[in-house]
Amino acid sequence: MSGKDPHLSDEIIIKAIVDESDLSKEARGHFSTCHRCRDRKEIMERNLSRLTSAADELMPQPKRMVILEERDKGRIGWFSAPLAGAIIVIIALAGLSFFMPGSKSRLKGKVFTVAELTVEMEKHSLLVAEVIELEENIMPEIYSALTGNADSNQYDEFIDFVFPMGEEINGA
Amino acid sequence: MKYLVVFNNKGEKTNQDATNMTDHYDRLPFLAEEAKGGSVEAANRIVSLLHKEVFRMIYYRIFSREDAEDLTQEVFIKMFKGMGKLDDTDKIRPWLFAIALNRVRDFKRWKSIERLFGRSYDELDKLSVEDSDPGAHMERMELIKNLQQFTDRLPGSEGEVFMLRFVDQLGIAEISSTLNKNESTVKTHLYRAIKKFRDDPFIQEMMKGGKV
Repeated sequence: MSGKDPHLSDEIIIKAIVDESDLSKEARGHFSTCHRCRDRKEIMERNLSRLTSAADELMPQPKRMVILEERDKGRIGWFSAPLAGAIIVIIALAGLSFFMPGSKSRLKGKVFTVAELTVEMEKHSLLVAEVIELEENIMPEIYSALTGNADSNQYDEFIDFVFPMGEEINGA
Repeated sequence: MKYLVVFNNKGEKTNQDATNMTDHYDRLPFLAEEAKGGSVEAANRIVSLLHKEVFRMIYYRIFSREDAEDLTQEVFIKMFKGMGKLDDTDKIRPWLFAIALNRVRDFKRWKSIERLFGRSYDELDKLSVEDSDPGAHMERMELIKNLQQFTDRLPGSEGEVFMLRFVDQLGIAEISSTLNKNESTVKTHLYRAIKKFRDDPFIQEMMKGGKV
């Protein structure tokens, strides 16, 4: 509203479309009495609602329905049940070896000390983790990030730099 | 009588009668709570309630039915796997929409890489729903094409906010939760986008046609 024109400006009409409750008391008062301003708002809203109806009309019906199964259930973070099992077994074995300081294992003729056995077990643990990770996603992490199959944001900055696609929404 | 265990605002467990509850939006937080506990049935009910909305949201960002179906499936699987991360089950809808938008973003990024290596990017030609009035159908297609070009031209989150409001029909509060932005920021983006929509010559030309 200006001194010359008693009607609301286009900017205020748009503000009313966004949220009428954000208008000043004066503007709201004008809206309730002025048919011309209400009509201007309705015309703009009608144009916007054409988008909605065009989108409704043109949307194809999905041919496939999603059915979730037991195997789609989540895990507790990255910690999968097989990995947890493997780690527990390894820790138990390492613990047993620890309480038997004099004991030595024989494997393919080689004699392992407790320290060597612990190192081997650590290696085994890493290998098991890698196998499980590969089982779930056969692509290395960098490619997973590129295809969007990984939760990791490690390479996002670089990818955003190469292919900027706007902001990622956090928390989802 | 069937009871659902739900958590109130203070985090205390309460039992609520679920006997007469229908599968509607009001039931989503309860279903989310059950799905969080591992119920496949509850998770599938969430799917049946929100499948169409998620599919629509994805479809109007990538314009390929088959790809939208694949992404919709991925979104719901990701939802089920990540239910533990959802603190407030009241926000299951915006949370799911946020997952969908992130998957769309990843998909578009992947398509950009493919395009870089010479593979084509399927676009709007897949809008092929039959219409009783072919003329009106063509104009609607034209409007959607112009809309896509218009939102692509908008800076930052303006295009996304505009799409969420007028194509996906979300309210301000839901857009705010989906994009993890406060409501006044959403309103500012929407205000600017509507102003540009009003001034866009291609869109205005389409509006004059009047068939849409």
